[in-house]
Amino acid sequence: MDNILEIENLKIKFEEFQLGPINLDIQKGEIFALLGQTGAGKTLLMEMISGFYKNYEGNIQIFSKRPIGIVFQDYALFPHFTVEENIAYGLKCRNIDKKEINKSVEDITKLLGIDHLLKNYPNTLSGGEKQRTALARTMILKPEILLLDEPFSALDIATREKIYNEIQIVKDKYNCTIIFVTHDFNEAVKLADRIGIILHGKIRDIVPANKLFIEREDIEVNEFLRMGKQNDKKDLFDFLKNYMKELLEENGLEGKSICIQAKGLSPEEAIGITERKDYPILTGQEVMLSAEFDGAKGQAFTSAPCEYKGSIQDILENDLLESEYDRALFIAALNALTNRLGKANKTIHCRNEGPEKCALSIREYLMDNYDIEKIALIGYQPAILASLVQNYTVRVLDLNPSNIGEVKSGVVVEDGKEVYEDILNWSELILCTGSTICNGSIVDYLDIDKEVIFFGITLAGAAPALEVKRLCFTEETS
Amino acid sequence: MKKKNGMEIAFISLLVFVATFIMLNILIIFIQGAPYLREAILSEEIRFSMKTSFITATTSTIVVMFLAIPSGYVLERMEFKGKKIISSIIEIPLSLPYLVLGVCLLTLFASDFGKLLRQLGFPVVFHRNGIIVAQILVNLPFVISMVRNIIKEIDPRFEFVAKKLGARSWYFFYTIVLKMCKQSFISIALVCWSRAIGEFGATLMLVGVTRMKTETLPGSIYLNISTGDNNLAMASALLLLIIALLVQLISRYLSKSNIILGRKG
Repeated sequence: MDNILEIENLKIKFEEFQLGPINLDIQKGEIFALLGQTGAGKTLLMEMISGFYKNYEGNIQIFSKRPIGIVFQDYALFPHFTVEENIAYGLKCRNIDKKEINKSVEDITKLLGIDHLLKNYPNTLSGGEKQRTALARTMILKPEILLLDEPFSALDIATREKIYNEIQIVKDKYNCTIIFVTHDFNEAVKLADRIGIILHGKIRDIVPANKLFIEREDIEVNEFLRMGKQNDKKDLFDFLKNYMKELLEENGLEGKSICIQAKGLSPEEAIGITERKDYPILTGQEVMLSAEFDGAKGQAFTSAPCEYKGSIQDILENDLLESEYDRALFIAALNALTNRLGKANKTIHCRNEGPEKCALSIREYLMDNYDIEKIALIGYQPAILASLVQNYTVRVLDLNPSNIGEVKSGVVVEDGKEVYEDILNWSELILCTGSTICNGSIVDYLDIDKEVIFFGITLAGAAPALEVKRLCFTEETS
Repeated sequence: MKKKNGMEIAFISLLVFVATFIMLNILIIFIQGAPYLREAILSEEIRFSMKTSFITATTSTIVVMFLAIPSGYVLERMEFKGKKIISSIIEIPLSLPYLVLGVCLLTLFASDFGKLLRQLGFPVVFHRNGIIVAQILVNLPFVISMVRNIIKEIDPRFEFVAKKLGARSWYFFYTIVLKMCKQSFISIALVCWSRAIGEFGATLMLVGVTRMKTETLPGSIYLNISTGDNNLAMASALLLLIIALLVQLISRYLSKSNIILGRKG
C-alpha cells in the first residue's frame, strides 16, 4: 500500500523536552493511533505533522493532493461564529457559490446529526456537539488526511461510542487517512488499524491494533500498558458506580439508608448437589457471595471470603480497585438492587441439575444462532465445557494455576495471560464467564473486535449497563 | 459574613479614604459646575470648544485605531529583526510627560518639514490639525499596548485552523481578528476618544490655546480660569466629567457582553 506520510529523523526541542528522532510511515487509508501518556509528545508530534511548528530537524513528507484537516482537543471553534458559519468557513475561503456551500453544510451536518444546531453559537453546545461541529468544519473540505488530537477525551462514554461510528462513516465516505492522538487504550484498539506507542518523546513500538497487549522486551512499554489496563479497570468500576448511583436517584432511593446483607454461601446453598468435580466453589477456591436488598437477591462468585451488613452507600464509597472482596460485594449488591428494581433477572445461581441444563441450553442457543466452529471459553466451567466439546472445537483459558495445564473434557486448560492474543485471533466466538468482573479481567473482553458472550449470574446487574450479551438459563428465583 | 482581621480592616479603611477623596473632587466639580451648565452649553465659546474637541478626538481616534490594530498585531504575533527595539521605541511616550511630547512635536513641525506640510495645505503648528496630531502621539502608544493585550488573548490555534481551512492572510485578519475582537476594539476606541477629548499638555505646546480658534474643552477650562471666569471653567469641567462617565458606562457594558476569545485555561 502507498504511504501518504513519511517522517524521517524528525526532532524538535522545547526547553528540557526533546521529541524524536521519529521515523514513521503512514499508509494511505489507514487509521493510526498515537498512544501515550500525558507529556509523552504525541500532541506535539501531531501538531508538527499538521504544520503548526516549523523549526524542526528532519523531514516530514506528505503525499496528499487534498487539504489536511485537523481537529484539536478543545475543538478551537470560532466563538463569534455560529455552527453554520464555522462549518462553512473553509468553503467561503474558496469563494464557492453560496448555494453549493449551503448544500454541503446541509449534507455534512445531517451526516453528523447536528443539522438542528446551525444557528447556535459554540458556547451553547455540549462536548459532543462541539466535537461534531469541529469534525464537520474539517470534513466539509474532504481532507485526504485527518488529524485528531484527543478528540474524544471530553465526551461521555455513550457519546464516544456514537462518534466512533461516525468517524468510520466519515472516513469511508470521504476516503481519508486518520491519525489520532489518545491516551485511551480501548479507544486506540477500537478505532485504529495500527498503534504507535510513544513514551518520553520517542515512538517505542508500532503494532497492529490487535497486538497492542503482547509482552515486549521493552520493560517500560510493558509497564505503560499494564497501567493502561489498570486505568481501564478504574474507568469500568467508576462507570458501574455511577450506574448504581443513577439507579438510586431515578428510584428515589438516594440518601435513604438501604441495608445490604451479604454472606458467603456454603457449596450446598450455592449449587445444591455437591457430588461433582472441578467446581471451584467445592475446592474452596471460590465462594458464592449472596447479597439481599428488600427481599431481592443478587450473587457473585469471588475468591475472597466475606460477610457484610451495612448500607449501600458505604459499598459505593469503597475503592473497588483495591480489594476483590469489595468488588464482589459491590457486584452482588448491584445484582440485588437491579433485580429489585426490575432492571435485571436471573441473579441467583442454578442449583442441583441446573448447571448441566444451563450448559445444554447455552450450546443449543449457540447452534441456533451462530454458524461457527471455534469457541474460546474464558474461565473453566465444567458443565459448559463438557457440553460445548460435543459440537465445537474449544480452547479454555483460566487464571487459576491449579487448572492450567490440566486436561478437562479432553481439552488442555491454557494460561489466560499467556495466550490471550492468540485466542483472540484463533476463536470465532468468545464465551466468557461473568465472574471476570470480580477480578477485573473483564476489561480484556469489553469493546474488542470479536463476538463475546458472557454467561452466569455475576454479570446480571452490570450487563445491561455495559450493553453486553449475557446468557443465563437458571430457573432459580429470589 | 466572616469577621475581618486587623489588616483587612486597615486596607478597607484606606480604600474608603481613596474613594472619598476622589468622590469629593467629583462632587466639587458637580456642585460648582451644575448651576452654570445650561449657560455654558448656550455659550458660543463652549459650543465651539465642544465641537473642536469632538471633531479632533473623533478624527484622531480613527487614525489611532487604524494604525494601532495592525501595529499591535505585528508586535504580538510576528517575529522579525528589530522587533524589540521598535517595541521599546513605541513604549517611550508612555513614560514621558505630555508637555515634553508637545515640545518634541513643536520642534518637529516648526522645522522645515512643518513648513513644507503647511505649503502642501496641512498646517500643524497653531492650527486645529495640530490638536489631532498631539492627540495621536499621546494616545497611539497607549492604544497599541491595549490592542496587544487583546491580540494576546486570541488563541493562536484560531489563526492556524483558519489558515488550514484555506483562509488567506487578509481574510483571516478580517474574519477572525477584527470580527472576533470587534467589541474589544470598540471599547478601546471609546477609551482613546475619551482620552483625546481630555488631552491638553501636548496640545498646549504645539497649538497653544487661542479663543474660538484652537480652543478645546480642556483649553476652555484653562482660558476661563486664567481670565477669572471660574463658573464657566467649572461648567466645562463638568461637561468633561459627564463625557468621561458616559464613556466608562458604555465601555463597561461592552466588556460585559464581550465574547470569550477562546484561550485555554
